[in-house]
This record gives sequence, C-alpha cells and structure tokens, in this order.
Amino acid sequence: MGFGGKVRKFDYAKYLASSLVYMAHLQRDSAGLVVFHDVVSNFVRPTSRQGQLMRLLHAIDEAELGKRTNFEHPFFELQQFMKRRGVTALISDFFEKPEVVIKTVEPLRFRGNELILFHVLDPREIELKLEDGALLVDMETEEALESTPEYAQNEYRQKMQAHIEELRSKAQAAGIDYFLLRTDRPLDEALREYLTIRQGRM
Amino acid sequence: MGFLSPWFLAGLVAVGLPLWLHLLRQFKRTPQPFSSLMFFERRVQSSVRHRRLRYLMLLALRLALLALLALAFANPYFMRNTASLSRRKLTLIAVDRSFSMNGGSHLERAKEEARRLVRDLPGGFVAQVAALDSHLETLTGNETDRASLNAAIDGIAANDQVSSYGELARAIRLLDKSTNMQVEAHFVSDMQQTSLPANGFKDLQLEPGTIFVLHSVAEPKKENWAVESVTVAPQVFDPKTSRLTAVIAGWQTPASTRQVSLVMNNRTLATKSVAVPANGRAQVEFLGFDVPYGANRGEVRMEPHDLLPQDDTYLFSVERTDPRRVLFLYAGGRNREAFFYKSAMEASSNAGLLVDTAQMEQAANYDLSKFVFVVLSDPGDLDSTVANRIRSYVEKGGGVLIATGLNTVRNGKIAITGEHLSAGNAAQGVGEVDVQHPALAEAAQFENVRFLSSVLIQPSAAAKTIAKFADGSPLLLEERLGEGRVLTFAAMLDSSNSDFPLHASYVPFVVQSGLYLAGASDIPSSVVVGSPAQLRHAKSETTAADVVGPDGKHELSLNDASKAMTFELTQAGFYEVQSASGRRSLLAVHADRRESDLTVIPDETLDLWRNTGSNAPVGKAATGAISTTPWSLWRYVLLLALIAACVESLFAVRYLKQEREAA
Repeated sequence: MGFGGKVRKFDYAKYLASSLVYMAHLQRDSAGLVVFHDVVSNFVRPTSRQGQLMRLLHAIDEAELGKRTNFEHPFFELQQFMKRRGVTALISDFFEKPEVVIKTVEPLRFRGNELILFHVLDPREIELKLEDGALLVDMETEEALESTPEYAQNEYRQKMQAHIEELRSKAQAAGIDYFLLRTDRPLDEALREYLTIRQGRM
Repeated sequence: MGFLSPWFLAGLVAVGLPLWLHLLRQFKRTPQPFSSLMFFERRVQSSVRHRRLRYLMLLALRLALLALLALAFANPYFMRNTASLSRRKLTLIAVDRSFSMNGGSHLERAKEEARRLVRDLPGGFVAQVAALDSHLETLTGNETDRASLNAAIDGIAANDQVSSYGELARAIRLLDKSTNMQVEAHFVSDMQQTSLPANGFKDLQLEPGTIFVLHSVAEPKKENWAVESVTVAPQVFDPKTSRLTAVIAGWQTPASTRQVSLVMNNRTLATKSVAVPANGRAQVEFLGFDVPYGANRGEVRMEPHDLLPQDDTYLFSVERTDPRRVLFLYAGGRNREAFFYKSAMEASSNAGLLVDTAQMEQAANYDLSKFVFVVLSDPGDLDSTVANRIRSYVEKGGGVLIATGLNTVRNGKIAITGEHLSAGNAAQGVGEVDVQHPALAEAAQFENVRFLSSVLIQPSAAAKTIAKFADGSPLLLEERLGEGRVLTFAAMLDSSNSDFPLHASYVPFVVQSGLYLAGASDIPSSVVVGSPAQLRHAKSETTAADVVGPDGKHELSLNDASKAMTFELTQAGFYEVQSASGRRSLLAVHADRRESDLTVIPDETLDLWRNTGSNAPVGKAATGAISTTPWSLWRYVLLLALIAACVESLFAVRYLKQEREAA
C-alpha cells in the first residue's frame, strides 16, 4: 500500500477510512477499526461512546505500513471480534488471488454482516508504463524482476484488468459490494458516487 | 599480408563514434519499486536479455561496418604463390607450320611429337591445338577429347609463310589473360633463329605463371642453299635489252657449285654453273633472253636440291609489251619544256615510254585512252572541256604530271586538282624528300638543284607531299582521283626557272615518275608471301575484281569481289589478278627467304625464352612456375561491409520499432 506518487495508496486508504468513520459518527453508529497487514497491528472496538471518533482518527493516523499482506490470518482473528451484525468496509489494494480474497472475507457476510470491498489502486498500477527496460522491485517481498516496456504495455495491463474484473465479479457473486478507487480521483467524488450507487440499490 | 594504402587505416578512429553514442544510450537497468510483481512473469527476463543482445549486436555491426570500410580503403593484400593457385590448367599445343617446316621430315616429326603430347595429357585435361606461321591459328576450342585434338594435328600442313615467335608469345599472353586458366604451352618447331622478333626478348615475354615447354624437331643437318633473290624488270619492251640477276645463297653450307637455270613458261632458256662460297652468296646473270609477248611465268631453278627443295626455285613474272605512249601538252607555244622532257625520257633505254608532244589547245583532238599518262606543262587557265576530259581520264585509271609556272600562278588554281597556288620564295634548294616513293626512286634527293623561282601550292586534304622545297613548301604532290593519280610539280620541267635539267637527278626523275604514272611499279616481278594485291583504290568502285590462285581456283567470294580493297597472297605461286578497273596482271609470289636459313636458336637463348613466364630456375621451368603475386582483398572486404550494412539496417529497424512501440 506504500506505492504511489503524490498520494500514496496507504494515505488514500487512511483518508477513506477517516471519512467512513466520520460518516458513522454523524449517524451515531458505533464504529470500530482493524489495521492489518500479515497480522492485525491495531484494533479499536466498535462503540458509540464519547471520544470514539477521536480514538478512531488517532488509530488511523497511527497506522503504519507492514512488510507484507496476508488476508487469512488477520481475518480469522477479526471474526472473533465481530460478534454483532454491522457493516464492514475492507480497504486494500488486494494484490492476492481473487478467490483467496473472497474465500477469506466471505465468512463475514454469512453472519448478516454487510461487506464492502474498497479496492484502492494507483493509476500507474492499472496502466503501467515503462520508458525502457526496468528492474522492478516488489515493495513487500523485495523480489526483483526485469521487465520491458512491451510487457508493461500489453500483458501486464491485460492481467491487471482481468484481476479487477474477476475480483468484482466474484465479490458480486458472493453478495459483497465492490468499489474501485483510483488514487488520482478526488476522494469526495468517489465516495459520492459510491453512496449514490448504494442508495439506488437500497 | 599488407596494405597498399595504409593511411586509410586512420579511418578506424571513426569506430569510436558509434561506441561513444552507444555508451551514451547504454541499456540501463533502473531499479524501480513496485507494489506487487504478481502480474509479472519470469520469462520477461529472457526477452530483456534478447533485447540487450540485439543492442550489442547492433553496436557490433556498426563497429564492424566502419572498420571494414576503413580496411577496404586501405586495400589489404597478401602475397600468394601463383603455383599454388587452384586455377584449371589449359594445355596449348602449338605446331610450327611455316615454310621451313617443309624441309626434311620436320613437319611429320612435329606432328608425331604433338600426338605424343596429346597421349601424355593427364586425366581431366583441357587442351587446344594451334598452328603457327605469321600468326597463331587455333585449330580447336577448349577440348577434353583426345580424338578431336589428334584430328586437328593430322590436318596441319606446312605453308609458305614465315613463322613469328613474337606472335606466338603474344597469343599465349592473350590466352592467359582471357581464359583465367593456368596456361601450359607446348611449342613444336624447328626453332629457326630467323623467326625471333627483331626487338629481342621484349616481344617474347610471357605472363607470370605460364608454363612454356619447347620441343625442337630440327634436323642435325642444317645446310641449305636457296635462290635468295631475282632482279628483273617486270616489263620488257625489247628482248635484246632483257636482263635478269639471281643471287644464290647458302646457310651453314660448305663451298659448292650449283646449276642455275632460267625457265620461262616451263621452257628452260639458259643454264649456268655458279660457285657458291661456304656460308656465302653468289650472283648469276642472264642477258638478252627471249620473252614472248604478254604475261610470262618465269622461274630461276637451282640444282641439285637440298634439305629444303621448295626454296630452290624462285618465281617471277615478266610482261612483254610494245613501248607505250605519253602525251606532253605545253601552253603558249613554249615547246622548250617538251624538248627537255622528251630528251630525258629517250635517254633511258628500258623505260618503254615514247613521248608525243602537242600544244595545249590541240588536246581535244587526242584520244587520251591511248596514252599511259599525260604531262601538262604550266597549263594555266585550262579549257573546262579539256579539264573535264583529263579528269575523267584520270578517274578511269590514267595518270597526269602537272608542271606549274607563271601561267598557272596567274590562274591561281590548278584546273585538274582544284588546288590553289601562288608565287613562292625565290632561289632555294630542295629539302625533305620521300626517297622510298617509287616516283623518286633514283632522283638522288634532287642533289644540288637550285630553283630560281617556285610556286607555293596549298595542298588539298587528299594530297600527299612527297618532296619539299628547303622552306618546307611542297615541291612534288601526289593525289588520287578515282583509279588514277596526279603528280603536281611546283616548278617547270625546263631550265627557265631552275637548273634541274642540268643535274643528274633530272633523267631518273622523269623516267621514274613516268613509270610510276604508267603503273609499271604497281606490278613487281615478284612479291613475298603475305603481301597484299591491290584490287581497287576506292570503295566506290563496285565493279567485281577477280583473283585466280596458284591452284587455278577463284579466291574471292562474291562479297569480296565487289568490296575488298586488297587480297592477301598467302601461298607461293602465280596469281592472276583482275582489279576493279579491269586491269589484268600476273603476280609471282615467293616464300620469304628468311625461312631458308635453318640455323637453330642457341640453347641458352631457348632457356631464356622458356623462363620468361617463370621465376623458377631453368631446370624447373617445365615442371611449374613459382612466383608470388599480390592478391588484393578490397573487393571482398567491401562485400563484407555491404553485408554488415544490410544486417545493421535490419537490426536497427527492428530495434527502433520496439522503441517506438514502447514509447
């Protein structure tokens, strides 16, 4: 999630989480927070008590990037905390196989929970451009691999689009809301669109 | 290995340019952090390697292109051994068929030797058979069949021509250059010394690498006598004054007595004994022999016969006629010139020319065809009718001698030839004279003759100056008009403006120029084989000519009969020639007497000749020539550069296409 230009995906995700927390606070809903990478690094229990908004915003601000992402282990723990029905918003770049993602998050949906996947991607991840041959270094695994402009231009883009589409279709099939957010798009505009779509669906 | 233009190697510095440019644009690996590599595949790495490889190939090709260009201009070469060349070998078997090969069994032994050479040819051979006389005639193409070569050898017969070893060497040089094969030439001959070129070894030089093997078939006995020459007037007007001189020569011979006979039309007229000294010459003379009217076939025969009997007979032709008439036309009643001229002509007993004199105004009364030539003494403003008649007479084969003086100068133009003239310098002698010209044969270069006044003639383009005044202006001009000829003398023929008639050269000039105009010198008593017979003087003459050879056959094709200017007399014997003008003549043709000297070339000289095509020692000459020659490689290097340029273009196009797609 640390990848990005002017706005990192991680920062964009933090703004989004803050906005969602703020909206819940305005509706006097109890809101909580789980920050995870390969393990759960922070957890704020949902409540509507006084000072909850500040706690959540502080936790969001304190959140740091982990080394790598693992959906299975953090979500197993998360299921232990989620005893009441509610709305769960999962914000990630989902660099994992769609079936693994859906298989991991699907149990949250079974208990009457409503689940929303916010897929945050940098535009350069969707439309990768390389000027020349480049040595790409994975920011999580630090694995390095050489690539060419031709590959980035053709095969990578096709694979990324297929990944997004597969994630979208599998999420819809599992009754999970899916919304793609590009970090070059203003957050308010993206949220407004999402809420409009959600309102229309209800 | 070396370079013919090593300074061009400085161009290799240019190799640095693409190297520098490529270094500037070197393929870089930019470490670039990315969120996840889950959509990348390992195989991409190999494509990157290929891309880098192509980049390096492109660089290498560009470097190679520049380096090869610099190399090509530097003209690299290396010395290679010509003997080691893998050129195919062409064997040339040349057999001498000149006149001297008639002697003894020369030709049979030469043909047997040639057949042996054919038998000994190695497998896969390519060979030619040729015959040499004055030129080399190839009798076969490049043959691989022994039967064809032997058939060509069997067909070789000796002829009457002289052999030329210089011509053989020239033909071998030409063969070497034109076939691009290694030439191995075998020459079978009697190795006559007289066949060597006058210029020495320069003309005998062969191409480097040519293998040259000489096969001598000379007889150990080389003594030979021959009738070397016969001197006789080609035309006889009075048998009492007839005279014939023959020279009998011996080569490699002891002192001996030979019987010499004069034969006319197969009838022996006289026989004399002559003592010929060792290796020397003797002269025999026949006087007052009878010559029948018409053309006669004469022979001088010598006996007993020797190794080469063909040269013991010398053929000549002699014609018996009545004296012919000359018309001398003088102007203005000045018969003084006619007197001088007629007196000079009558002083010669053998000229056979009788001079009739007449005034210019009476010319119209004469039938010019009855005269062998006409003399116009200072014609001046000649009547146009007379001028046209004279011009027509000349074009049909007649002759005219024009003497010019004040009358003609006043007219400013010579009526017959159209040449312009004016008064020349006063008091001068004679300068350059063509003493070889038949009209001036015995004129002794006009020695001590002084001309008090002269005429300056502007010669036309067709005119030939054969004698000049001391100031370089023409004294005697010759010009052809149709089949005839005109001589123009830039002075008078009497003593009015020169002392010419008082000098010893006057009578010979009058007689010789007269005989020349009468055509007497056109038909010599005998000519050597290879001489041309004149058939016509102008191509416009389309009347058919005819030549009947010694064997009685007509020698000219229909095309040659109507177009050929000359005909080459290729064998000894009598030729009957009818020229386009209708004139008939009998030509006696004899073999060149250089062929009678059977002296063989010394071995040292033969060794020198044999090795002109090789740097090898004498003993190795026959086995192969060893020499080194520079072999230039620039063409091959340039071809490589061209290939590099093409491949570079292909690589660059593909590379740039990928770059554009990436952008």
